[in-house]
Amino acid sequence: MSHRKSPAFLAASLVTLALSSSALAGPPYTQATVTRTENKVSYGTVVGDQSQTRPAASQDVVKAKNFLLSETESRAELKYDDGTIVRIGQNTIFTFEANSRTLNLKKGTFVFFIPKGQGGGTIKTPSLTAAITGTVGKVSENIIAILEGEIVLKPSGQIVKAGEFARRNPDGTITIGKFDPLKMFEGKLMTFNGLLPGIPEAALGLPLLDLRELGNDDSAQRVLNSPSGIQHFFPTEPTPTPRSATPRPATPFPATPVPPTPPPYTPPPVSPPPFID
Amino acid sequence: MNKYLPFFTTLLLAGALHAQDGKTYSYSSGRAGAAKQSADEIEDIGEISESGGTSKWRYNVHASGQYTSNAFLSGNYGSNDFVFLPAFSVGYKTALNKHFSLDFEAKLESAFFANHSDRSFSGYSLTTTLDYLHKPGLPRVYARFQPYRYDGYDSGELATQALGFIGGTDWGYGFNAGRSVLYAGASYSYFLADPSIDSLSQFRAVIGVAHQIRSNLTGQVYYAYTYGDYTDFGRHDNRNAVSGSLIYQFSQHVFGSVTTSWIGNDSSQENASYKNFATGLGLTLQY
Repeated sequence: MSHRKSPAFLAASLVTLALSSSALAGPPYTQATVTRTENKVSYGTVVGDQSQTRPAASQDVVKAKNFLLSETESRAELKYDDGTIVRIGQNTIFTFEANSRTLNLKKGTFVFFIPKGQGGGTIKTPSLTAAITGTVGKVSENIIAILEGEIVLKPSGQIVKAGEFARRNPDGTITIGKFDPLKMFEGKLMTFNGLLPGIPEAALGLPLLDLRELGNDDSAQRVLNSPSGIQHFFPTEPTPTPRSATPRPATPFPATPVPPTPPPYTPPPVSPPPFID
Repeated sequence: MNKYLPFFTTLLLAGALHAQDGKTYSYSSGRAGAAKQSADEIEDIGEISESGGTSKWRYNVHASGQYTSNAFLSGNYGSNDFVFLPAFSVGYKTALNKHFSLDFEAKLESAFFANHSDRSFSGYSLTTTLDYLHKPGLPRVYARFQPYRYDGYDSGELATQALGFIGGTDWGYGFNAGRSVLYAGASYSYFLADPSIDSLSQFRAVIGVAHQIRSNLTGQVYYAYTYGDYTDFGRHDNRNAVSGSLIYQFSQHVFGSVTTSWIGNDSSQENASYKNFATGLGLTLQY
């Protein structure tokens, strides 16, 4: 089946596309500020075919010609003027392109927050490229996972929604599937320099930090300070009168039976000796 | 041994379930063409495992050493001691749907007192929690069933055991660019106990703040108020607790903590009233 489109239709489509593109285009990513570094993160500049690096520091301004490189156990956060936040993980090389608003992962991992209404952008990894509007997600070399919003894969146009991931498999195919929501907020980058905007506070919960359990450590209280515990360890203390009409046993451990006390000895009546004259 | 049968049965059941469930959510198993995430990736962005997929196991081994000013939990301080508190737990959480999740936890724990060894005890608890969260940011509501049993360590005799029925709600509010969380919670519990004089109706309210000082260091302080009514004994307790702790994450699975707490219990039974100060160090391995 073929469709023949008129020149007027094509022209109108192009105008619409251009208008929508200009409406979507946000301010270019001209520069970002390093807001936090951890351990060994390098700030790189490409000069011709060569690159030069120096240790990165907070408040460094990173431009499109620069790159950030992190080593093992090293991380960094970048903030753009439009509020976009990028956190790069360990052993990562990250760059960006200004006009196309492209966040470019050469190697490693990053997480991103792009505010809605700021024109979106593009995520590019060695194996995936996706267009985004406003969203929160995680990126590795072959995976893009979306926590909020949605992305459109290029060039296929497949949509990846919140709670889903796209993965380039070794055989070249792309898998789109739902990921485990219980693991959604895991990863050190989610809380590196505070929570990413748009992420619920529960994500701050370090594995040990189950806030519900605060003050709930009751085992010693249950054993030593319960009525049975107090009576066991302080047996000489008087027992309060039970509230219920029918008293229940108050001793947790078997009580030593007390032998019944024999009735006091009552000597038989002594009959008077017979009178002896 | 029989007294721990429910605990070990639960562990065995958990192990069997885990073995069956492994194939459904392990990222790398049985999926042709799927690439495995590296350890670095998992550490930084978490495991992105396919649905099937809405469950999570956890294992926790914890040990702490604690100084306590009141090992007796009776009177005002005056019975100093050092306590060693080892604990092991295994948990399993599964999402039932968008709003509900179910969590199981089996926990084995002990307390060994250095100077007052007759206070040492060990025991277990089996906790099932049904959670409801309508939307992130709103309060969470939960219902919990918790049987437990504790025995004297020296005597081997039952100290106390109960079936706990708990309902509660809690809510967390993130602020300070998401690095701090204000937390408030309230719960009502009823423990049907053996011996029956330990049966307890209890209300608890907690308010606390947690703050991420560094990416691997979190501090938290909380205040908890508990009202307890021992329904078969005519005893009423008002307990106030204040606690502060620092939690340091050494690696993905290893945590250290420093905790200091104060508890004041005002009871209608005179020798059940107490004040206690405790401070200690803890180490936790969590998978």
